[in-house]
Order: sequence, then C-alpha cells, then structure tokens
Amino acid sequence: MKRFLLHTSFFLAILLASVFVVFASADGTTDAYYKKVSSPKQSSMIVGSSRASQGIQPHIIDSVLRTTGLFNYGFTINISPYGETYYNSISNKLNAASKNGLFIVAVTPWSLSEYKLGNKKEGKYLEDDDILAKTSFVNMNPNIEYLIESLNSKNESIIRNKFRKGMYQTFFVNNNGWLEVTIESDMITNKARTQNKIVSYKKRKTNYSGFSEYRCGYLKKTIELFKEHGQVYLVRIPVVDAMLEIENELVPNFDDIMNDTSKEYGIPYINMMPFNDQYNYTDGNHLTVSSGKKFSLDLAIQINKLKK
Amino acid sequence: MLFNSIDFAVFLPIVFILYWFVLGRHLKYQNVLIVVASYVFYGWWDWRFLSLILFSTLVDYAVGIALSKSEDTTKRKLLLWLSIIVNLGFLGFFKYYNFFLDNFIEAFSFFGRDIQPNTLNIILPVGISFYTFQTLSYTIDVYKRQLEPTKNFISFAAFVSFFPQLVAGPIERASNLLPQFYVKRHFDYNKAVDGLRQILWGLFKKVVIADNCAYFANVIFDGYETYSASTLVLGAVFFAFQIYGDFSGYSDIAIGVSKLFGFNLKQNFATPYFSRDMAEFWRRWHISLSTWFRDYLYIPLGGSKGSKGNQIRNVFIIFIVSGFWHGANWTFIFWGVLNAVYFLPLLLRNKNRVHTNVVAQNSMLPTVKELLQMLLTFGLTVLAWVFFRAENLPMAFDYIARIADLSLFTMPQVRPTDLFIFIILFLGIEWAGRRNLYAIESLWFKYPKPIRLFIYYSIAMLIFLFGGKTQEFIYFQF
Repeated sequence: MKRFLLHTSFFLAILLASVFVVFASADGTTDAYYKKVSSPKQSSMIVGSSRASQGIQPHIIDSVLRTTGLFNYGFTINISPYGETYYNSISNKLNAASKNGLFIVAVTPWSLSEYKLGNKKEGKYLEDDDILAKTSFVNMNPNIEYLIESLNSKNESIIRNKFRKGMYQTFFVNNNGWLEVTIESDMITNKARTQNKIVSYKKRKTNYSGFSEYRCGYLKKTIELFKEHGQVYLVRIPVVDAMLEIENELVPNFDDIMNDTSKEYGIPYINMMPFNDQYNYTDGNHLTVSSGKKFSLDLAIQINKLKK
Repeated sequence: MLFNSIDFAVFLPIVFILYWFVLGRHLKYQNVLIVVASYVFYGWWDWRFLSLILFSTLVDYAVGIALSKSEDTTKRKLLLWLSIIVNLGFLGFFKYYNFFLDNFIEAFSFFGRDIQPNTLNIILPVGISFYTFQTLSYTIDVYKRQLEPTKNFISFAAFVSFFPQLVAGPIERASNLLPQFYVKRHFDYNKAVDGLRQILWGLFKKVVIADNCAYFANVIFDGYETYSASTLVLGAVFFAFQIYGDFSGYSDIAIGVSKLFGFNLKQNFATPYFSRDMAEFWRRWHISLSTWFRDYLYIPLGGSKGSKGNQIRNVFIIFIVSGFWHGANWTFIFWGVLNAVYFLPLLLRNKNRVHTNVVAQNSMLPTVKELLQMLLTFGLTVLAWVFFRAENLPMAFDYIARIADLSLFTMPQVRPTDLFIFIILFLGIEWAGRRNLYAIESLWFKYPKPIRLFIYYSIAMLIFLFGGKTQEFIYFQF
C-alpha cells in the first residue's frame, strides 16, 4: 500500500507540476478576459462592456493625465452588464485602500437594459452563469479557478495562442487590461462587418424589454463604490448612426437618464456620441485601434478639462 | 458526479483512504462505506432519486429472502412478478410515460379524435436503466435457483448502488459482483496500478476522443442541411467514435475504479469496431447489456432454436427491446430494427458464430479480406448510428438521403486536423492492444519502466491539454 501511495503521489506530483507550468504561462494571448482576472487588485479602473474593453486605452489616458495604473476591467455586454454579478466582481477587483483613483464608467443602453429572460423573479440573469459569476478570485496569477471553470477553449490553446500572436491571433489583452483587437479593416470588410452587426443587434434588441431599474440600481451602486475611492466619470462611447438608432429605440431617453444620474451623484457625464463621425469602427460598434487611441486621447482631454 | 470532474477527483481519494486506511480491517464497515459513498455519488446529481434506489433495494432484498423461504410455485411466481413490476414500473414511468402518452394522442388524432394531453414534466433519474436491470437479474437468478439469496442487507445495498458502475454500467450480474462483497478484500499493488492504467485509458477515450468528436458531430448533425455529403459522412463517423469513446471510456473508468477497491467487474467492450461481421460486433459492444438480453430475454424466448419464424421473431424482439431500452424515441426502435436486419442473414445462414476470436489473432496486420470485412461492418454500424443520433426519424432519413449526392466526392467542409490525428493514434493503440481486456493493459510492458511511465505521463498530458469541453456521458440518459 505504501509503495502504491508513494508511486502514485510521485506520478501525480510530476503531472500537477506540468499542469501548473502550463497554467502559469497563461497571459493576454489566452483569451479576451484572462489577463483581466489575473492581474493584481486595482486602484483606478475602466468598467463597461466590450466597447470600453476595446475602445479605451488606459496608457493614453494615463499619459495625458499623468497618472499611473489605470486598468481596463471591461468585458462584454453578455458578461458585464451592470448588475449584482459585475458589481461583486468589481468590488473584488478594487483595491480597498485606493484613495485618489480614477474611475471611468462606460455606459450603453444595452448594459442598462433588461434581458427578457433575465427577470430575477423567474430565474437568473444571463450573466449570473457566466465567467464573472464563476470567478470568485479576480487577482490571482495564475488564476487556476478561471482556467478550470471558465476558459472556453482547450488548455493547449494557452500554449498555442502564444505562437499565433500577431499572425492568426486577432486579439491581445495588454497588462493594463486593454483588449487590443487587430482585425482586417479595409473599407469593404468593415462595411460588411458593420452590416452584419446591425442585423444581429436589431435581432438582439427583440430579446430586450428596455430600460432596467435593476441594472440602473447597480450602476448607481457601482458609482457609489467608486466615489469612495476617487473621481468617477460616466462615459458614453460613440458608435455608428445605424447602431445609435437601435439604441435610441431600446432606451429612447438614455442620455436624459444618464444626465440625471450624473447630477444625482455630482459626477460628469461625458457623452461622446455626438462626435461619432470623427472615429472609425471595426464593425460599427467597436472602435478601431487607431480610433480608440484618438478617442482615449479626446476623453483624457475632456477629463483634464473637467478636473480644472 | 461525473468521473471527469474535479468533484470526483476529490471524492475518489477520500473514499479510497477511508476504505483502506481507516476501515481496512472491517469488511462490514468497508461495505457500509461503499453504500454511503455510492449514495453521495448519486445524490450529488439529485438526492431525491436516492429514494428510488433505496426502494428498489428493499423490495428486491425482501423478494430474495421470501423466495428462499417459499417452495410454492405460484407464490414464487408472484414474488418474481412483484420485483419485475416494481422495477420495470419505475423504469416505465420515468422513461416511457410521456412517449406512450404522446403516441397514444397521435394515434387518436390520426382517427380524427383530439384528446387533451396530460403530459408530465418527468425528470429521468440517471442510471435507472442500469440499476433496474442489475437488481432484476438478482431476483430472476434467485427465482431460477441459480443464486443463493443474500441475507446481508448491506452487501446487497452495496451491490445495487456500487458507485463505479451505478449510473452507466457495466450491468453486473449478482452472481459475479455480490459474492465479492462477502469476502475480505486485500490490497493488491498490481491490481491497483492496473486500475489506474485503465482509468487513464478510459479518460483518454472520454475526454480526448469522445468530447472532441462530440463537438464536431453536434455541429454537423445540428446543421446537417447546410453541409456536403462528405461532411455528413464525417459527422456520422465522428458520432461513432464519440459514442464508443464515451461509453467504453466510462466502462474503463468504472472497471478501473472498482479495481482500486479490490473488485473485478466484467469487460464491457472488446474493440467492437474491429469486428468482421455484425454478430461479432454485438458480442463486443456493450457486452453486459447484450448478455443480459441474451440470458433473460432471448434464450427464454427460444433463442436460435425452433422454427425459422421463431428465430426471426426472437431476433427482432431482442433488438427492438434493446433499442427501446436506450430511449423512448422511434429513432432508437428503428436503430434496433436495422441491427436486427443486419444480424438476421448471419443467423439464418448459421454464420453468426464464425468470428469468435480476435481479428488477426496471430499476426500484426489483418488480411485484405479481414480489412474489407471490418470496413463493411463499421460502415453498417455508422449508418445505424445516424438513427441513434438523429432527433427523429424524418431527420435521420433526410440525413442519409443527403449523403447520396455528388458532393460525397468533395473534401469535407469540416476538417479538424488535431482530431484526425487523435483518432488515428487511438485506433492504432486499440489495434495494438486488441487482445487485451483494455487496449493499454499490457501494451508497453516490454519497455523499461521509465519509458512506460513517460508514455502514461504523455497520455495524461494529452488529456489535460486536448480535453474537449466537458460533456455528460451519453449513456447517463439511458
């Protein structure tokens, strides 16, 4: 028996060590979220959906505002609409000792809308079964919990994606959490992608029942949380006109609600939607890398002005 | 609890340590631990259905005792029927109630009578088809006086609920498994290592082969109307490997885990895809179920004795019942009929026992004839699997009709290179180990231990790196 346990333990130890080595090599190439949940706790954060995750480049804002350590903790509209799950995850990610942080809260009508199937009385919200709900530790590296429970590809992709970076891999999550997406962006493919996106979002809208008090409540809780630790800015990231039309149908008075919220909490609402023709988009919904850079610069300038 | 889950990876060592280190000297307590562990294992999925297992255990235990005390033929028959009605009653209600009701309603609608359906939202208890058949075999054997009924309730409860094979077999006979609970088990290093080796191979089949094949099979079957004929063929082949890897993988893990606790379960699969005809295939596929039907249904019906008409009837009955056992859907019944049609010519020409040994028993490679026979048998099996996998019969026929198209001679639209390599590797290992109880049983024994360990390590790392998205074992639903 002792021999069996000894041999088995030895074999398992080697195996587990190998597994750990693979897990420890996970990084920004692994998937679009891993880097976000495996970095340390943060004192300054950008929160929101994929528009924020791709569109706001923290290093640009840091360079203009002469700050350090702004971290992009945005995910996607399915994973991180405002709600209990995202709020809890943000709370876990936030450095409790943070005092003079900068917090950019990106809002869209989607992230404040009720999904028809997501009525709490009937069951869970969609994001309650998704990665943030399953990831209780968001500042652990390697984040074994995330890799076991939530990585949506085979473990070999952890290694394989490293070699694909810059070739077949279209995304990379930087150390500051910014999701850098480099996809083909000539006029024809962009137009086709935009058309597809518009069609899919029109379809998506049919699954939503409009503005959600529940989500707005958690947006306010998120603002309250951040206000304890620094300056908070509500931001609306621009999209193409066709997408804006869908959003206006989804929540017709969205900007009014955001203006009211900003007044209620004494924080600025920076609505960049009126300048949407100044930027380029990969699919009508997300800014290209170069436009994201310009947008981040413009946003930083606005924040700088507001600070003064 | 799934074998390929973190929960089980924690559960197994705890039970193992308690079993050998804490309770190693007390047979009775070891059996109690097995019962408790088995109930935890099952309750992890849904504790409410533990009552079914407990009730079934109590009824069959009591029937067994009563049978031992009675010489009255009528009373003995009544007791046997009590057990059959209770066990098949549960199975019938949970598995077939809605099927019969739906078909009843459809039949009435056909004649212009609309009746209001009163279907129930019934959850199928995992493994009910397996443990029902296992306990039934006990009562039938006791009734036939082929087995002494047990007076040891704990041993009987452990036999019914033995966690390694509770939810997806192998369906053990009381004559094989029950006596093992009466005698003290001694830890055997070689047996335990053999168990681990079989678990490793079972996990490879399940996680690398079955789960990865499942992904592509699901994609192709779900969108079959949009794929070329060659892709549809590939989808069916992927499903063939999915179901084999899934089910035989589960059996290997179950048998391997049992070995860790000092038990021997029967072999459930014997490289069925290397069969040279359908009769051989059915001797090698899901052996515990095939032999169950053979002993408790086919032979009592007369088997291959009697008139040709009776033989044909018996073959159809056994295959249709086997199909229906798999699920309450016409697709499974048609799958059974199709296999009966495959089998019948062999039986009628007395050719059903031609291939009783392993293919290429004394050589490394098969002859051209054997290779063609294997390919034909595999092709027929794959065709039948289409019915097994399809949502309904029209879909299955449509799927097959779409294969008869010129696009059969084009490159498949789905070409997962990794998976092709794994399937070839898998077939190579299965071929090399076809004479063993499981492929890697003694496959690399000629190599020094460090090399063997490196091979096992490599298999384990392949499981970790290339494991597909975790899928529930297919046979849990049966």
